[in-house]
Amino acid sequence: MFTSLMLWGLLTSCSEDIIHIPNTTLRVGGVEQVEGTDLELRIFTEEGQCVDAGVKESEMKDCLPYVDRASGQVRLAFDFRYDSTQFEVPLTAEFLEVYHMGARVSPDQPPMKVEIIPHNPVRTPQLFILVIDASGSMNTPDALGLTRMAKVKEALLDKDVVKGFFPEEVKSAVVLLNFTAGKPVPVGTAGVEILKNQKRYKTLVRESLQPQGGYTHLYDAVEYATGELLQNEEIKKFLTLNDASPTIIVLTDGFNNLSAADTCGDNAVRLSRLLKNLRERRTGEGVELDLRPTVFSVGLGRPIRPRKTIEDSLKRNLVDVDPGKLCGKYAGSRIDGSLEKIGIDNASLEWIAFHGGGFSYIHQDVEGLGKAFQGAAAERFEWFELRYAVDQFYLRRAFESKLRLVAFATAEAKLMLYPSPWFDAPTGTPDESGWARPTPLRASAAVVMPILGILISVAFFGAAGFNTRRALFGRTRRVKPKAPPGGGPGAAPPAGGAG
Amino acid sequence: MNIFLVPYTWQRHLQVALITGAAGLLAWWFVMSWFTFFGPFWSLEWDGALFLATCSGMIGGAAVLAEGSLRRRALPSRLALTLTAAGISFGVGFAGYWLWTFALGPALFGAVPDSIDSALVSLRYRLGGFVIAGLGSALGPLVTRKFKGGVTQLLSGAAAGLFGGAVWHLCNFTIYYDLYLASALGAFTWGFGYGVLAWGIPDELYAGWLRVLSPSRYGLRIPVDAMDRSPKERFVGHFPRGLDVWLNAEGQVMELHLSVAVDGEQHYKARGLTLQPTVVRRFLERIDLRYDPRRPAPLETRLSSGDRVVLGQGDQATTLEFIMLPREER
Repeated sequence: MFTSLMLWGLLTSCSEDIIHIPNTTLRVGGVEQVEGTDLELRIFTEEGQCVDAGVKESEMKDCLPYVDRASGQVRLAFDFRYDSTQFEVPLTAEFLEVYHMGARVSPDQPPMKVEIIPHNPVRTPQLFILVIDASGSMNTPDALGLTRMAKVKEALLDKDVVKGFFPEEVKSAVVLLNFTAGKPVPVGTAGVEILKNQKRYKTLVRESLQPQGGYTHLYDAVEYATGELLQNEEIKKFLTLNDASPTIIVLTDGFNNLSAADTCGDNAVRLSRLLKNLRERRTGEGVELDLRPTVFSVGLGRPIRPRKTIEDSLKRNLVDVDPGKLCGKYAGSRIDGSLEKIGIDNASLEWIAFHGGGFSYIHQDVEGLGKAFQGAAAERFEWFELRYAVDQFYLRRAFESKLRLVAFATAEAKLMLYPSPWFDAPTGTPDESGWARPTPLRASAAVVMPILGILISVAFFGAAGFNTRRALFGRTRRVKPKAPPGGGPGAAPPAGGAG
Repeated sequence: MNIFLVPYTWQRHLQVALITGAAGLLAWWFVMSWFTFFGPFWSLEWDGALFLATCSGMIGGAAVLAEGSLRRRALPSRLALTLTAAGISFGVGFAGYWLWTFALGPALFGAVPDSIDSALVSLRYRLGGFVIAGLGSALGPLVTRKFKGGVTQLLSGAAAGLFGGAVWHLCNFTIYYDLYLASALGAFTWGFGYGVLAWGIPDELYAGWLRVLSPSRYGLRIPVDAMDRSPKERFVGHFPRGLDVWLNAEGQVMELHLSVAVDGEQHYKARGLTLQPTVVRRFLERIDLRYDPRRPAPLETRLSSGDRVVLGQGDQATTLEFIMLPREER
């Protein structure tokens, strides 16, 4: 009766939505996708999904969810899907927001940390549209006499950057433009030329990329590169034939500046207009994910505003920019001859990159610029491993992990994780970077066996100690008998003796 | 367990505790390994019930098995009693978990929605489960012992469950965050605590013996206790018609020198029966028991395991020791 009751209880209480993760004491619920996003963010919860995503046998151990409560670490693996097929993206930790029980996991607030480990790199065909600021300020030399344009050229000719723009695996190409006032113009050619080989690209960069002088119509350049230029027949043809996606990299050393009287605050309305257009071009109806432009911004110089002052606006996905948000205390300051000497408008670049689905880089040296270009031309990956750490306190109970892709495209999914509240599998072993790796179950023998061994030993300690003590006090050996005066020792007792 | 390996020292009271502690640890290992390796066939809500019930069942069963081994019960009987106790302990631990989770816990701490969240591990909502399961671990052995030592057993079980839950919580949330070791230590503490509190090895498994340490008749020994555990007295001397321990007169042993008696409550006493020196020696203590003619009754003193009795004096004195050995030595 009791057994039947138990079995009935066990069977009826089983939930089909919650599954056990092998070799752990963790269960997970179903992955919940947020509706209305561009991509499906598929968090792996079963080995079959890992296999389907191209996870190698040797990496299978990194594919399924893992929670190490002793160190407060969580590991999830995921990929992106578009129309049910895998969609490779160039994801880094900056592009992914991680929420633990509804709170953002911020890597800059220890003990929280986030790391994305991409797996299975692939190159996808791309058309890189380089939009380089050619205003007069690009002729400004640094302390060593190297002009800003010379730094840009050196970075663009770096072999790793060139390799990124022209990968061997797939067909990619470059369109090289510079801009001052008005529409950006092709570098070294009369019309738009798609540079399909390294030699031509290097020649044009080396010989034709020069400062032109004039104001910096940054917003117009982005507007043109993401709109009118993509309607160019040659470009459309290249994108279609090669199944390539357009990646726009815009570089500037200052501010959007249309006239000598412009102030920083004047740019707010213009930027808002650009962002609205940009959003429409990326997420408007009928825009195919493959063909939507991705905009990376590269600033050459010193930022005038701390990033945290604009983070809130970025988080809220705002496109309405007011002078205060854009410029802070510099809202009324003139750009020409004043602000442009202090630094660059990193806020605009952040906004443009955020709404352009890319990333903003600010650097002052050749090496930094090279890394920025490489970042924009980065490989894409088939699947990703996310590791994040929070205070152990927050792993005391079931929790929800939510992942949100914030650049390139939109994708969001959440997963409930249910670590057993009563016991855990062996505590993870930290690797060289401090992230816990699952410890095999057999390691639990290292806890159980010594303790059982000690228990068994202790069980004999009593007897051993007792006998030792008796031996030390002379109770276990016969003292040599003295010569008896009469009647030998051990003489037999009379009848009725000891019993 | 074997009573022959358990000398009559204070450490004997830890012997069953070591077994029940090991049982708790193995119960944890079994549940954790099953969960990790095979995966649970039960749902999340049942984790606590099965974990606590398994610990309860194995600890209760181990206690009965240990007792059966110490008492040398017949193997079938030993196994039957063990399984019965384990089953009862498991059942009580299992039912007690639900009783606490759905009735007692909410009644005591209010109907907080979290209190029935099976993934919540706050001690407030879990301690009662440990205590009831601890009671369960005592109830199984109690039934098989026909309720002998009822209150002690039950209180010990509840206290052991409480200790186990406290260690589980402290190791996981206060001292350090490691539920792996915390659950192992919690289960071990529960078992060990129960063994210590409820299972001191009873004196009835031992009997007092007199043993000769002197060269003459070295090693000769006799039990003081009667087979039926009734009061009994043993005599030492060299009266020609024989005594319980016959010793040579040359060893300064008088004809009727000493008696050692045990009463119905297994208290041992030595009585001096001669005017010759008779001294009981123990740590930092010497008691002269020689007969005082002015007193109507002989002098006597209690005897504890390890005490020595010196008969006579000087080089010719004879030494006896009183020692507690397993009753089965007979």
